[in-house]
Amino acid sequence: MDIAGGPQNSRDFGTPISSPLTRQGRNNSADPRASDARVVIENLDRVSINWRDFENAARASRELAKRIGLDRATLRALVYGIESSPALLKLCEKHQLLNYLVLYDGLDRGFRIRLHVSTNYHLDRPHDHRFSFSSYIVRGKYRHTWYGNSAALYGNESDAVRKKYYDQAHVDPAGPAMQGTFRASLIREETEGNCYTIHHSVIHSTVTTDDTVSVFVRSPAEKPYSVIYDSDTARLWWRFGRQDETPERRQEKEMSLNDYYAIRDRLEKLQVI
Amino acid sequence: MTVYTMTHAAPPRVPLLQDLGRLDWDRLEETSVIAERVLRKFAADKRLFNELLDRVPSNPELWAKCEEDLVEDKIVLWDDIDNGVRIRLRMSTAPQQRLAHNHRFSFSNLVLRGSYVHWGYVAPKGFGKDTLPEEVETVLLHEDRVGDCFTIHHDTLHSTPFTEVGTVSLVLRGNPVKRRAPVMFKEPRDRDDALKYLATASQSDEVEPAKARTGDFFWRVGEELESVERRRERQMSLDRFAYWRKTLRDWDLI
Repeated sequence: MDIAGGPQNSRDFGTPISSPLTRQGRNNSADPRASDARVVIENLDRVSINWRDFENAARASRELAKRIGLDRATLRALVYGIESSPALLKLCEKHQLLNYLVLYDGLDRGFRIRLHVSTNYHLDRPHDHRFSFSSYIVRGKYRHTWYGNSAALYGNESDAVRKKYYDQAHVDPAGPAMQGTFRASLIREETEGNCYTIHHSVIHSTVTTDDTVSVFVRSPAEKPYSVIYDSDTARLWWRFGRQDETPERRQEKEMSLNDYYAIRDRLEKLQVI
Repeated sequence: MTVYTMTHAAPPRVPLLQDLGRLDWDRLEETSVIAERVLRKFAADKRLFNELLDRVPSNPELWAKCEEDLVEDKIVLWDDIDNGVRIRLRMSTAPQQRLAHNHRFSFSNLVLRGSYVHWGYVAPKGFGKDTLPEEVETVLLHEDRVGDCFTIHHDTLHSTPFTEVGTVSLVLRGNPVKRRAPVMFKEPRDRDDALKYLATASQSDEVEPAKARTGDFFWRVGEELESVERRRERQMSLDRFAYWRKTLRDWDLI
């Protein structure tokens, strides 16, 4: 198996699952596979994904997302693990449209695993990401639109100027001129069991339904910031990594232990974990 | 055995399709919702599906559009140019390669059988016969499964290689908006029976080649632009149609 930074993508990230993980299997709350879950999590420490080879990294990260998303015992163990990991809790974030838990951080080996949980706000906001990622939909659904490549949006504005336009209360004056420029290239309804990979340059939007839950496997950051545009209000702003954010912005998205407990309870009620 | 005659049968009354009105494929978001609903209803209505399928060989206009190609067959079930609605089946007959391409028309696609990886590309320097394969960048990979439906704009570069023989999709497409559409091989094609097609493949860059290297390029044209010989070559036979009718029933799709 390839450890950290090698040229190949490792795809063997866990012991074989002994029985098919049907929906019935996932609902087994007696949790007889707790020891299997421990083995899967230990094996994550030996996984690396090399995104310089995007197509192979895409396949490896989709397999990883599905492996975790289809294995309720492991998913549960990873969610519960955050409670005793201040480092992971610090990476979890609250947002208007979704909250996410960071289940595992192997960014030094090319991947971080998150669990996305949509809120009950559902807006059409075309955006790209600072990183490439794969997503596996555990429950729920959303309308997924690909708008093509983001290169044209970035223009020549300096990074320093963009840092002033970091949330929907501090928007880039370029926003209104973007109205009508997002033309849909590919549209689909993503439903439970769907899995895909998106390059960081892709502009897409995901108009969710309540409590849509996805396992999300991201690459290391490929650029300092990404773009987001609110279609209804023609507001445009930029999203930065936490190292480039103001303390106020970081505080805004910070997840408290109580927030985490509320999300965990919700995941249990939804029978996701 | 069913005997098909070429007499022109009166078209059936199909409210699902005839009451749609004109689909505006320039408004892709709105049309995608309508097209997806129609495809799902159509696929679920086996009586209608069977009725339209059975009428295809006796409708000269539809029958002339049914094709046996190198790696897949097509059966056109409905064609309404006035409203921008053509419905057809796409069935893979050989493992397919990744061919980056766009289309002469926008369309919606419902997967009825099988699964495949759907590739999305961008070509920042443009896409034509001089484009190098590495200039066509993969940016999207989606695992399309039975029941998945997507709608795609005619300018979007993608490939949907049906790697499993017997993968079936139901397609609702709009009217063509360009004369021909570009296609590039993102991986080589080398079929055992390539030789028998090579003579035609070498004649024109508007014929899909049976044998190709990565980066090889050709154009897809509409049937109205193809020669009588080429149409005859691609025309589905009645035997093949009977095979598909039985097979689609065996697979419980109709």
